[in-house]
Amino acid sequence: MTMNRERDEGNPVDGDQGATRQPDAVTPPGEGEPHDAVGAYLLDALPAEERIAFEAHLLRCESCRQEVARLAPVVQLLPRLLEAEIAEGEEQGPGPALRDRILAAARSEQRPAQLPDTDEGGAEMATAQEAKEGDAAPAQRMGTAPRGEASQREARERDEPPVMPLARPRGRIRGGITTSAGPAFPLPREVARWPRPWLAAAVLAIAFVGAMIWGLSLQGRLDDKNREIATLRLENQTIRARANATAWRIVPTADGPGNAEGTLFFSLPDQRGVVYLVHLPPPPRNKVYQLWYVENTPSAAPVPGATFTVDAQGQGFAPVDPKAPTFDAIALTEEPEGGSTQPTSAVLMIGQLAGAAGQRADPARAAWAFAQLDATHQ
Amino acid sequence: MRDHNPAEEGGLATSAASASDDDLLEGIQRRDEAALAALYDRYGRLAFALAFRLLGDRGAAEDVVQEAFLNVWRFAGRYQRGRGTAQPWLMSIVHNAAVDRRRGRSGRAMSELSLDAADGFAGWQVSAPDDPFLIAAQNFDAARIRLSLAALPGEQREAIELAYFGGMSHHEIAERTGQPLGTVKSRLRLGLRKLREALSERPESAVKRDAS
Repeated sequence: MTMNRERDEGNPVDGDQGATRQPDAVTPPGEGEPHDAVGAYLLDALPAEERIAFEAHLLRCESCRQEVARLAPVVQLLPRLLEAEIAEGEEQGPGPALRDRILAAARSEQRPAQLPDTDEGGAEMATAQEAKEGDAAPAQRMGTAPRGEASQREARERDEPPVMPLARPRGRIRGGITTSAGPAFPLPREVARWPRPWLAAAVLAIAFVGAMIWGLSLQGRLDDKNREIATLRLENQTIRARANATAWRIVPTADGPGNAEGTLFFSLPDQRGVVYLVHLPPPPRNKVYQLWYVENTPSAAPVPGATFTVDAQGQGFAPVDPKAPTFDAIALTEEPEGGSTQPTSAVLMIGQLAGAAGQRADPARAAWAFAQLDATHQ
Repeated sequence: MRDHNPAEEGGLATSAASASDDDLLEGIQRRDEAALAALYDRYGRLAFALAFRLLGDRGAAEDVVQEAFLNVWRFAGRYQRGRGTAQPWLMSIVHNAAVDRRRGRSGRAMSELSLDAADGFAGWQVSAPDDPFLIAAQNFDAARIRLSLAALPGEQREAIELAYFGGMSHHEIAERTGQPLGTVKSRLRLGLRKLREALSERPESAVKRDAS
């Protein structure tokens, strides 16, 4: 779809269509602050606290996200300038020992975050990074080992039929899911035993997503001057969210919109959560989106959660039950207006909670999401 | 080299050298060291060249390359496949690490947000797989990129070079060039836009332009 941006940029040669996934967003590229920082941002020329602030700005600025999409590929080309010099032998390479050092270091690193293998009972999930930081709050491990072990034991005893092969996902699914005909990893048995067919396919699709959580903030960055983000007028909520906001990722399934993504932010001190979803199409007439809290035990029915719709930018905010972290997953379906007591349609998006260590959320992002939720629900 | 992972299903074969980047990243996600080695063999030299350009010190550059490949090892699952080569993603990780090191933040683990940036798509992963520029860009060689860079107004080119190859923050660039911060930001932004324009020109017209 042609965008007004083409005219604004005076860019007739380019010929692209202002690549956007928001067909009805006609925002021109913003001029002046804070949009001007986009170039510096993409070139890694922003200091840490300004980078955080700009990323928080990106959450709310469609035109900047579009500009990022347009200009990031340009920055990606710059390293190629060095290829000519390498070819001409002008650049000296690294020493031969570097290769060995890298492989040796890799060998000694822990496994990346992923679902437990069939033989490991409810194994503790930890990214190498989390292990480094070593400060994951107890709530982040809720719902992992105890439930996992029990289900797996039960499952093995029941000797149930083999699992469904992984369906070929449509669209993009993040985080390394194979799109080949069969699964590339041994399927975690507890996932394989989920009873509801409508959920099984979705969960299988997610089963191979590493538990990398969007929105992780580093130790160092939490200590940075978060107050400088006051320009976003989130100061109070930032301080509140800084204490302990955890984030889990929500991703589309094979049936869901390939571009959609989301995060569940949960504030431990406040005992409240918010789901932030983006790039969701508006639901059909007389339908809404609904959240479900899913437990990985054979007899457990999904627990109905909040219903919500999306705004003009394809963003959705939904309140989340305080008990959310005790569940194994959060799921999204389309339901008739007013919601349902049981899901009546395919799972569109899913967020793995159990077994996927929630990571500490970027306080600015979490605070922003809570603020948006409050704004839309009052 | 260690034996192949028995869990592999016809993925990374002995011909690591001919495997696609997607295959290598998939292998790395499955903890196949041979895949990591193959990726290093493919991009290690360029990674080092970039780090060395920013840092000017071989030891520091090697450290940065090591850190970058370890982050690849840890976060291979985050790599979006089906987008061509892993070079942009990897170079972004290297660049990020080198800049951090230059500004005195060494040994810091990658954040998810940095990985998003490494993905080329900051914050929420805005991406435009149908952008024709992306497809065309796969074939741009160093000469074309250099030509297009040369087509920029001098102050924009200088700002971009100081930022990208100098690893400077925009504050440092402002100081170095004696320009206000707002001007520097503007030049970086406009320079990248112009660079995209210049790169999108057909080669013939680019040659004509330079010849005139």
